[in-house]
Amino acid sequence: MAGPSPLSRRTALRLGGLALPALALPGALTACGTATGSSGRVLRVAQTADPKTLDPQRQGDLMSMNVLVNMFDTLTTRDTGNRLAPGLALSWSAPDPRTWRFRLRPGVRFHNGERCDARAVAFSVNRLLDPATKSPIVELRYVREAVAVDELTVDLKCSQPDPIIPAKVSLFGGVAVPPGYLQQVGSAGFAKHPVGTGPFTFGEFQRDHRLRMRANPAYWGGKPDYDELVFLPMPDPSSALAALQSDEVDIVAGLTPDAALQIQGYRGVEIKHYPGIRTFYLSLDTTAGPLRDVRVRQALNHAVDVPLLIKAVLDGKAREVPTMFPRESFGFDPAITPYPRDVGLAKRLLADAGFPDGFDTTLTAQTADANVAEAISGLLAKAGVRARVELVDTGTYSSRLTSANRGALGPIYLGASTGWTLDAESLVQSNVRHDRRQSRWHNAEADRLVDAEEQSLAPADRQRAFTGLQHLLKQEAPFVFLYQIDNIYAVDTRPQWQPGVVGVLAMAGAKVRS
Amino acid sequence: MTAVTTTAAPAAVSRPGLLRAVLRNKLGVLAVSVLALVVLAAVLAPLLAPYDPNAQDLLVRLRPPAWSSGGSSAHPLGTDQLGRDILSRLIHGARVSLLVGACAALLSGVLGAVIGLVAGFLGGWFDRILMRLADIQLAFPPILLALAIVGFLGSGLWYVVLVLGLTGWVSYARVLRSEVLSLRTRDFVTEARAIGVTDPAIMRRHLLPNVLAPLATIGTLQVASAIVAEASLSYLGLGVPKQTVTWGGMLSDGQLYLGTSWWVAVFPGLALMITALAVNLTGDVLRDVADPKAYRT
Amino acid sequence: MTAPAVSAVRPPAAGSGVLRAVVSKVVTAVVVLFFVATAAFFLVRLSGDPVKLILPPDATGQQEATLRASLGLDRPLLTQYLDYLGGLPRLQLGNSLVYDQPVAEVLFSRVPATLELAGSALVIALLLAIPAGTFAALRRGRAGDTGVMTGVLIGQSTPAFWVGILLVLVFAVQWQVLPASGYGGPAHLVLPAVTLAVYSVAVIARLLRSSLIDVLGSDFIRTARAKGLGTGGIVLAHGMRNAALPVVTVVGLEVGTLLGGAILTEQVFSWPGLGRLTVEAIQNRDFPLVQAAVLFFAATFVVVNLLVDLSYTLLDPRVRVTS
Repeated sequence: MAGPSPLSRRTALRLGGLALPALALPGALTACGTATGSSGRVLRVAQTADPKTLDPQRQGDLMSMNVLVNMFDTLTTRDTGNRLAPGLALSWSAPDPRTWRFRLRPGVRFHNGERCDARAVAFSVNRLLDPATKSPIVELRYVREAVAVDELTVDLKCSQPDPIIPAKVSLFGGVAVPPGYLQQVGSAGFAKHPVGTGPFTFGEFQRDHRLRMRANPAYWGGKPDYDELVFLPMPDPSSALAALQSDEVDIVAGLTPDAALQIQGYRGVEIKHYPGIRTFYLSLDTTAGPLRDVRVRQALNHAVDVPLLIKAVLDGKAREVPTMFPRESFGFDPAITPYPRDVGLAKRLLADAGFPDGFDTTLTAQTADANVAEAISGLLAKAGVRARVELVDTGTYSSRLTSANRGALGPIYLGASTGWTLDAESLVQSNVRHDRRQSRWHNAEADRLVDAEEQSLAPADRQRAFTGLQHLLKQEAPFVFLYQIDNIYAVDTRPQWQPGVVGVLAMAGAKVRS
Repeated sequence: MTAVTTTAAPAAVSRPGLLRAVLRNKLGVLAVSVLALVVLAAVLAPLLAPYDPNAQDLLVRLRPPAWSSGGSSAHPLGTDQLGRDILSRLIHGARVSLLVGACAALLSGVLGAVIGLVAGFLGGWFDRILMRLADIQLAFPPILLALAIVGFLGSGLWYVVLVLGLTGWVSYARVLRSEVLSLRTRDFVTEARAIGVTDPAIMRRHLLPNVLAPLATIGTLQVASAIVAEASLSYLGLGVPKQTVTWGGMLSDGQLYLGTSWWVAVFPGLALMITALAVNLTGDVLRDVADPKAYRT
Repeated sequence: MTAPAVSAVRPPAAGSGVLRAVVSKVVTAVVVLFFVATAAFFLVRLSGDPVKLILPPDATGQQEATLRASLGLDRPLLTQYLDYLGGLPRLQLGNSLVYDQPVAEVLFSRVPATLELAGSALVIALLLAIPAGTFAALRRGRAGDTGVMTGVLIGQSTPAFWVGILLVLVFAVQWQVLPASGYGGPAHLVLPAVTLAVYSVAVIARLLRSSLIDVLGSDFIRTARAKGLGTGGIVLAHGMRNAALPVVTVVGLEVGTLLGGAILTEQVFSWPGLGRLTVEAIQNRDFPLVQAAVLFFAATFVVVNLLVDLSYTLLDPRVRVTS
């Protein structure tokens, strides 16, 4: 032990050596990143995460859609009144029940100069359908293939009649990708540097930092009002607030009502909320336990005070729905009113059904919906129904949701659907007809009505089926109907922008004050 | 557990010394009292709490504490995002936090002490295998273990204890091992071995008492960090089910409201901090008492 | 257990002993990595089904089956496992199910950010902890000691993500002197690095203090003191060297804590590091990415542990004899 301390000093140096290169290296990287400055007028949008991939046919999450909708076009689109409008297709028709024919807009070119003609569109749809593409986009489930009829005409051939194909191709099922470019760079290259026909062209993407797009001067719909569009990932609302205040970002999207509350009231920051279509409900397992009795299910609907829930927990940023359908969907019948909320009536119905003291059950929800689930549990408790809240992470939730065991999420779970097609069909697609995967309800009349709206092409027939379905849903109450949530944004004073009801961040129409 | 009796014997002789040691340390007295209060609150929670900790009143959500404007004496520490009484939740939360902290630390402590002693003293293959096990354990993100357990078994208080216990043993084991490594060549060990004392006996009688100090230090840290880790798991939705009130759960609930309603996260955060601090300081006192060398200086 | 006696009689063999130790450690490292890889493979498959997460809930069973087949997840588990093991030596880790990119590419794009964060945090932690621990040990039992250790304990008793959020509120929202989140220049680094360092400062300072106290109380220090060396000289010459052993152990462990435990810090500050990537990958059940991330952590650990073990042999001659 007589030795002096050079050894410990050496160790200290070694330990320092672990850390110091680590400090120096990324510093250099960062310097490169900031050196490429932006030019012209810029609009900066923050959302909670990065897009997962930039291949529009291999994504299905909102973060990716929000970015890609600005670089790619679809066959049809939605106008500011949420009506179906021409996109890459100018018109469409159904020459026979199993064919949808689209007439394309002439003269459209991809960002690399490639022509966006019938061949390109047919290629795009067929690429989507090819299992090798591994596309998570499922709307075109009845489309067998796409055929280019002439230079500007494409037919989508279906295996069975699908009345809402034109609505479905306003989503990424109807996206056009460049065949020549894909052949040249392959799928991986395409995802690294996407090329579309949209209002913005790809600039650069530094994952977890930012994604830059340049305005497309040759866009068929006209060049956007500003020069550069930037997307930034910001998972934390307080960080987003700070970024807004320090002028690092202009729009923060994807806020929850609670997050919006935290940002509200600060100088230079405005909270805007617009009607949205994401619709929440409780799924009830009507095949087991007390929930087999229709009176119990009605009692639950009477017990959950949705207006109070909206006012207190969602800060007023949602709208009550009578059944499963948001107001903006085709098929919504305004004549059908929500359940009256009445705890006394709920208790009487429970007593009639043989549960004067209520019963014990569980309410499963995703972690992100904890507050709503707990509030609902509290409201149910007032009627004597003691629902223990079980929270599961998204992965567990989705595995159980579509599991072969339809009781995997327990007797009651909090669910939500976004009917992107703006057609009520999407809302009852997988959870009403008894043989669909998430259905926990056996009702022959409901099955008949679902078949009617899914298979007839005449809008009037479909509306009749939907009206019947809404009456039946309300009467039989296989769900507890809750609300459709608003789309909430925080903005600074620079941008002027009106989002669509679907809530995708199509920014081409925005104006930016300089 | 015979080790405890062997070391307890000399300690019993100097019981007044122990008491004096505790009392000498004013901060220690304070810490022990605070800890006692927290334990008392946990035990008597149903009697002390003014409200059912899960009773909601959606019309009085996010009310500030009584002393700020807008607050009322009905809810002395205010209400949370569902209008639940924060004071009642704090009192009830003490139960789970202490239980999880203590059980997880105990589980990981027993695991870690045994593994560290055996690895350090026996060396050779035991050491290699056990330390590789430690490497494997450390290399694993605890969240993966937590997810696998929760995904496979479901969520619950004892699963949280299991996850924290299984992920916490390594720090005990490695520190104990390194202490033992330098102890085992000391004279008292080689002499004991020379006169034919068996390995288990050496570990119990000669090594364990000498490593109790670091064991206590890590143990107290571990109780505190288990309480904090429970908060992290709750934050990721992998913790104790929501119906059970925990400080960690309250803290992660309140995180979102920190900008406008600081009290939702600040009170459980403070409770957590003060309790963890009290545990740590109490541990220091115990350590000073348990450490034989402490008496020499 | 006869080894000590044998090597003790020929100390010159210590150098080759170290070499042998290194070789044997490289071999065991491979074994460790093998077990980690295996555990990761099976554990992640216990946790759920990525296909259900990639597809929207209204996908049909047929669509699910098609995607599962094209991802190769319908093959027998053993086939998948052998495939995976076979790819490891060539670093062929597969494609991320979510990002649709080679896993190595996704992973390595995050490494610099995490090294930057963890490295700065470690430096901050050591810069604060070594003076604090030494000061407290020298002032043992006095007000200075109590003050420092209480401060350290408060830091340790506070959840890291809470510290982070409080820092954001004070420095970014109220005072607006530092950015709240994001990845960029040194200013972006300050808050996350400090947040991450808080816990490690406490762990290292505490341990340094208690080891120093042990050492200062031991006979040879008294001897040194009797020989007339001043307090500062004693600490530097003898105390630090002996106290360094447990501290180095913990610093080694802290490197792991900093790398892997940065999860919440990275989340709070939107820091694009490995911790956040791993959490997301686990949440997405992105099997190949989870496996690769876990392996990366494991490899880092093995290297750090190797350095720690080697430093034992340099710091404590008694250990050298036996290794």
